[in-house]
Amino acid sequence: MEVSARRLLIGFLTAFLLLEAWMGYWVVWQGPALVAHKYNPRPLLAEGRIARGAILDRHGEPLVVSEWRQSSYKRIFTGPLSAVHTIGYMHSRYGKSGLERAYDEELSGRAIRPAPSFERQAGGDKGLNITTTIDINIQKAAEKALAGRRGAVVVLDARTGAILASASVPYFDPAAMDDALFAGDQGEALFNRALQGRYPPGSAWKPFVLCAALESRSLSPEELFEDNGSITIGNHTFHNFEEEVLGVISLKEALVHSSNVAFVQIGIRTEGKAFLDLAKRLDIVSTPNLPVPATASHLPTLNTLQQTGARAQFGFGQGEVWVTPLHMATIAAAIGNGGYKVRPYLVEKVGDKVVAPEPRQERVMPAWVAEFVKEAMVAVVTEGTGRRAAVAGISVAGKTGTAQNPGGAAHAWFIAFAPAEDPSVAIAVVLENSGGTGGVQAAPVAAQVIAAALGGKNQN
Amino acid sequence: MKRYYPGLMLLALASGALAQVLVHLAQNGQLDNRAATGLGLYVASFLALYLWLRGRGDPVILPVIACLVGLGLAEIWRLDSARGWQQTWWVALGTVCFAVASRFRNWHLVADLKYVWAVAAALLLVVTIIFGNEIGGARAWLRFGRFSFQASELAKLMVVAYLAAYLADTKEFLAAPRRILWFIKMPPARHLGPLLLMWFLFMVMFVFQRDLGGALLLFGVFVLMVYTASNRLIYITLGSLLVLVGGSLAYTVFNHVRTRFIVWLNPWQYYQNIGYQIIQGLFAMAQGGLTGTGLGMGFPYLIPAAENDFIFNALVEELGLLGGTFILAMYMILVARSLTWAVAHGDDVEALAGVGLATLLGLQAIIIIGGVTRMIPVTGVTLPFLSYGGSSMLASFVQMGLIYSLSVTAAGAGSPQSAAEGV
Repeated sequence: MEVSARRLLIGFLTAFLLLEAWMGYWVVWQGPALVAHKYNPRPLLAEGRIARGAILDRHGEPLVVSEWRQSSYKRIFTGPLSAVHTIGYMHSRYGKSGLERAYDEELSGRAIRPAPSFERQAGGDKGLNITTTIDINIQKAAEKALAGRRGAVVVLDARTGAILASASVPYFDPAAMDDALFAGDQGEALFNRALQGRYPPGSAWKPFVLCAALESRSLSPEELFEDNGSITIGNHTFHNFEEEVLGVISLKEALVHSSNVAFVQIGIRTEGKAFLDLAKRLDIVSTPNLPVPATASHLPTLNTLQQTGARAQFGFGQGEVWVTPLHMATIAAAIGNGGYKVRPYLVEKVGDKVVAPEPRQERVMPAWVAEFVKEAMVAVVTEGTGRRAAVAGISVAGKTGTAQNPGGAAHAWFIAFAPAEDPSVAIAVVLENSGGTGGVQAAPVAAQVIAAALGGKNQN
Repeated sequence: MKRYYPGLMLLALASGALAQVLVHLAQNGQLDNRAATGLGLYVASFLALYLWLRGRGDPVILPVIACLVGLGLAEIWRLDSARGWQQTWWVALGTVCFAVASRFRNWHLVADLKYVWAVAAALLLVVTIIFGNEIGGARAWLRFGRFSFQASELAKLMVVAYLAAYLADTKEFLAAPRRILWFIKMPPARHLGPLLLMWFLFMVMFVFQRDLGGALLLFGVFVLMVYTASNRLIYITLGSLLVLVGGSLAYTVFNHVRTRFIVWLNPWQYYQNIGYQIIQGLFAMAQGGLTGTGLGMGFPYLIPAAENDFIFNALVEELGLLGGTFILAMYMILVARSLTWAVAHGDDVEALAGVGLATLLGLQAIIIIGGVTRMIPVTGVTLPFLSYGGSSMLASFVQMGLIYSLSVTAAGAGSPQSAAEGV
């Protein structure tokens, strides 16, 4: 019996080793796939045990917090919901987005210690807080000014590029995401208009065109234009808004009164390369270097800009040019700060560690160009199309835009910076298909936000 | 010379107790009165048993059991504290059973009462089929007032006793088969009769009790005992063929058998209902990873009835691949020690009984762990010393108590070392 018993034992040991291998197959080989499987509720439940760090505004005001509710932590968005697209959500079925996703490791604490020690049972450990660049008061003002509309407001620190507000309307409540998803409008409210919406800029594009033209010396600052209300290039006639006839005007007046006739000529006389070079230096044709999804603006190719007609349209922001609100604010900031590049960023601190980029002085246009365009933009608000953007006690520089588009009524634009002498904020406002002009519709929105940001009184 | 190995025992008790403390702390942040009493009961009953045995037999068996039981208790406390409390008492009672079984010396009774065991086992089976309660799909439970006990747990010990006696008588005949065809050797028909009878009995169990795991376990023990007694591989071949024939018959005739197979082959398709448990079991193991989530920190409660059949997955979730390996190693040790002590008794009836008990333990662990890791279909037997359940716990303690008795008498016959080298 000894021989057979020995064989029996070997058989048993083999069977147990087989079981070991089989268990290892599930744990090691299939493990990651099983953990990530859509039917597996464990990762989500584990998430609920973690005291996730808060997402804060630049002054430490909470935007998103985790609160213990009975048996698990709940993520609560306490900040202005117009920022939800950028800040992001954490949802049991739809996962994570925005900063919640980009800084998941830090917020959950996994970046500094393995997860189990963050579970409530093990003590009071908490993930890292993320301090954003958002200023809750400016964000609230933007949200309020946009109430009932469709559009976006982006506010930048004109010197550093910190994103002080990123408002996209309509917005949604992450606690009721199904409402937004199944509203029957293909998730309109989920779309981040501030960082991902691309719109024809219309006349709000003219400061950019003016910068490129002056810089490339395709025209002199003293130039005069004769504006008869329309101009014919080839077989196409371009009109001023409401066919207004401005007569003989200076370059500055061309911007102040938003003369399409003048800017069609400026566009034609400037080389396509000058436009594209400036756009490249401003970083608006590449995807923004942000931790959340953001889109590059689109300009025509050099080939397209060889055509006179294309440059004529480009001159007043029509044709093949689609720009995001973030990039419009970037342009305003660069003009306002005397011609230096701004790099938009969204996160100031992770935990106690400052992660904001080092400020760098990198010139994108000559100082005299920026100064010239700034003066013209101040005049836009004091005596031109942007008078409704005026704020008492603060000198605002801006530019209106009313962009024709195939999607319906015109988009109303306003880009601005203030205080004009030494701007601390730059802003872009877009109101989708608002129907009205940028001066009537968008300028007051900008004024409200600037007033809130700088503590001035809105004159409207 | 007596060797008590107190260090081994204390180490085992310390790890078992630590596991339970961790679970209580993770669940409640403190040890409440009941948890502390349970912990004390666990440590005290094993210590008392250890001292009472006075190191006369195998020094490894008891520490291994203490360790397994400690882990099992911890997981059951964690999943359902009321059941943890109950199970602690079953464990305490189990140590008493071990003590009694370890004093069993009258192996001749096993041989003398050969047919009593067979008839008693058969009667128990019939009674359960007629009066039994159905729990978990198997009609394998008898109810006495407040308690219900799983008759098959008692029956399996009787079957081992009967088989040991039967094989002690007939092993020579079984070992000398005659050639019936030019390539197949068969034992004479009158010795083959009981073999077929047993197969028939198990098929009855299979069909009327729906106790797939129990039937497979007993038939497996039977085949392996016959093989060990005769040293003829033909019995394993024959036995496997009979399992296949019986299995395919049952598959075509019975829905519940078919269901188990279908779920085994493609659980994902039935995730919402019959596949849910096995898939949650796989998720649990995957969640554990290499070192586990830590005791009390995982989500084993997501597996329905985790404290019964799926306790292995629950433990792997919280202790990881390492913990699972540890548990498998514990069973390997128990099986290896048991076979060693059995063989030390030559080929007497106690040797055969010892092989039967060892096989019972090993095969039961393989069938259930194989089932919950989806190596074979889930057939529903308890995991010895780990699963929740009184009958199973007591039966396992009796089994190992008898093995301990064999180790005591073998040590008297020769030194444990020489016996250990024998296998």
